[in-house]
Amino acid sequence: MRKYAYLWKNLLALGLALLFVIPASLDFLAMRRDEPIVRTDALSQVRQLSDYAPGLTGTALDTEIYFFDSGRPGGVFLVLGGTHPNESAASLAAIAFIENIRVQTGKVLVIPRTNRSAFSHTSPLDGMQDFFAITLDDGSQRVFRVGNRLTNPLDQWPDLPYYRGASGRELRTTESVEMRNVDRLYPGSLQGTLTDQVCAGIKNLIDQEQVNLVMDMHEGSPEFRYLNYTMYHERAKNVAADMAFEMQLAGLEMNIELSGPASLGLSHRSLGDNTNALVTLMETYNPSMGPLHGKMDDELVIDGKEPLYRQAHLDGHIPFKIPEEGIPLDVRVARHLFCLDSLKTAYNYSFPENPIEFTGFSDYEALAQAGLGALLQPVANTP
Amino acid sequence: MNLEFLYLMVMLSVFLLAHLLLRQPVSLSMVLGAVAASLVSGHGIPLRHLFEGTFTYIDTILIISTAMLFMTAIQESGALAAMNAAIVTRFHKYPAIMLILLMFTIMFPGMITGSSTAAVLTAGAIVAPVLTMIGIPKAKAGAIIAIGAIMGMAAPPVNIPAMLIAGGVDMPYIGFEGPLLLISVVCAVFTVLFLGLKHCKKLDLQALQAQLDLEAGRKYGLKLYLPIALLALLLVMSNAFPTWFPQLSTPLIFLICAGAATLTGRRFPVWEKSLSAMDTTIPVLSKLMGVGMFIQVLTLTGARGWIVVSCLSLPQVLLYAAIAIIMPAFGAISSYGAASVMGVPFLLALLYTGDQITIAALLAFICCLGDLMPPTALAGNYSAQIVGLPYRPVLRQCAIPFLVCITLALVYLQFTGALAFLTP
Repeated sequence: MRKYAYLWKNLLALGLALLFVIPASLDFLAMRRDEPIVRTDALSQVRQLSDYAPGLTGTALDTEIYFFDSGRPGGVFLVLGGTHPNESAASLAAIAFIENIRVQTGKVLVIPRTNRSAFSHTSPLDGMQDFFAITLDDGSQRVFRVGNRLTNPLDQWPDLPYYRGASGRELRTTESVEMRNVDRLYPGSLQGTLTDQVCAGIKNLIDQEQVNLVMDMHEGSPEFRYLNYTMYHERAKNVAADMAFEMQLAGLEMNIELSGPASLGLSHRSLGDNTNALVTLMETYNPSMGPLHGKMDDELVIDGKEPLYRQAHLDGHIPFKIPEEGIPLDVRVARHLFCLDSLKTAYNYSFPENPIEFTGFSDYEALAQAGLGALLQPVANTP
Repeated sequence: MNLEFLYLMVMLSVFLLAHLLLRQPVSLSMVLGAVAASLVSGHGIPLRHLFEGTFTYIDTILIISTAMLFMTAIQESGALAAMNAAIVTRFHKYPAIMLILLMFTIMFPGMITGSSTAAVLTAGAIVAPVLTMIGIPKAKAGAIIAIGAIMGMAAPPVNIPAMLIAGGVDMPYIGFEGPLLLISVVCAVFTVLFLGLKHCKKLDLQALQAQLDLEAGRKYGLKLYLPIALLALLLVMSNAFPTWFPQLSTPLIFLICAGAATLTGRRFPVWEKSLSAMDTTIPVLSKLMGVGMFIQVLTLTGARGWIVVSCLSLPQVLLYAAIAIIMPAFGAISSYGAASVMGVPFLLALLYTGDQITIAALLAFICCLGDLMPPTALAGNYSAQIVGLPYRPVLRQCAIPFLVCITLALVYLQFTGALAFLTP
């Protein structure tokens, strides 16, 4: 009898656990669904990264590549968004770019979810939102995931105590989680982990499509010392400098920093070292990423308003200038889009014989004013 | 009133109410505090956040569980008793050297794994009977083990809080060995001599041998020590030579060595002893889960940010006071949490006062001391359990060494420029 009582007690505990586990599982599963991206008539084709890294076929890390081919010979520009999905402006800028671009000369390729698996979970202990919604000008809403900077451990596990990337970067102890970070493993390896294969796929894409110019879009927490910076590979020096000048002419602060030897495995260093492309990486401010942020809500994620960080800045602990009104997602996305346009212009100064021409993003003020409500298309337009 | 402060008060009040008045376990009280703050802040009952927080420490939980199985195995096999007999017989004439060597033995697993818990549960448990046998009172023996394990956690090559702080400001974890080794060795030597030396100046070997269990050692010989040697070998080789030696995670190493211990000494009922080992460790594991939920909701509501920004707003003198008090106190929740939450902004606040690597190393050292803070107090709780006492008397003995460690770290913080020769 006592034996059965023990059994019933255990069953009751299991039942109670399931009561919490099932709804929580549904929350986690919801993050595994990709949000739609509107395809316009400017789009030439959509391919998969597994076309360049076959080991990714059927995995959560295989991801879409959007091709915009003008049909006129010219340069090839690759734009990477969603390398770190929690850097929301970078992911949204890639989507807004896809939904608004018109290419006149050369080709533009966009990967909006570079680490697709990383969109499917959030960072433990950081209390991140799972989703946020943008209201469009027509009144409809589009919902996006916040995600994480690393591949979901359900898709790549375990983290080894030691991992050596193809660049020679050695990941040890606490840094070993970075073996799930796309921006630590370039140029990647087709024989490596799934994250490593993503990097190898991007390198193969650059080689096979003869990409000339790369921009990897990012954001950083307010403590990060390279906000409003573009990191560049040494071969991209002139292009990066001219791009910064273009942005400064439009009244935007933009600094540039040469990619150092300590940056092995990062896109600007190791894609630059191992391909013919000119590789750059840009950072904007994101207050929801740092440890000092206040309550996690839409005001923080979408409006970019963070009084605690503002206070830390006023007290002299955060060098980055944090305005009282915050820096909303609209403004950060506009900055990314204008940076892409400026980079293209700067590239054309240096390589007039092999130009890249596209329209839609040459007026920063107009982009910032329009905001995501106008830049993102209603999903009903998706074919 | 600042809303984040309100959420923090709700969280702490419900936690204390549940724990002290309603006599609920710490882990459950933390869950209740987290849920209450979440409700008040408008996040409802955030199941996803609670689960995310719960599973944050799954790696640590696996290490603790498997280390307990290993400890039980070498205890039951007779290896511990034999080792105690060997140490006492060889070093009884030089008590100071014996104590320092025993302290380094306690520190060793912490230096390799970066975890004070691993140090307490492995070397700490091996050394504890020796300490009590040579005449050190149980409470002081517990304190030596707790602080020794923390010094091991703080000592190089692996100091996880230092890695977390360095990572938070984009600083590579390079050059930390010198400052970390200096402060951890000085504090370790002081602690063991301060607490232990006066109790073991005159050791009578014959009297001690009467208390020792010499039978297992005689019967099984060196074979008895194989699991311990294997543990040291696998831990060192996996970490030092990862390019050619198989990469074994710490839990797997503990399991392999526990398995070996079942074959090298006295036979014992493995299943029953394993179940009983897990029974004793489950309260600490559940605390870790509660801590994960607590920090997750602390961040979700913005209370974490509010705490840090409030500390940073303090004038310079009070800033040092906050470093000395709040960082170790945060260890009551998690010393790793203290490093990632408090360590990074404190480093930013002190960045231009001296050598940056030394400052980061000293802040990490102070974070490590948080493993003594109740209610979690991983190092303190386990060492008390090992010497068979409640935590409080052990904590009392830790007080003076703890204050000396903090004071020394603060003094060093004033002279980081002069200590820069310790860094590359």
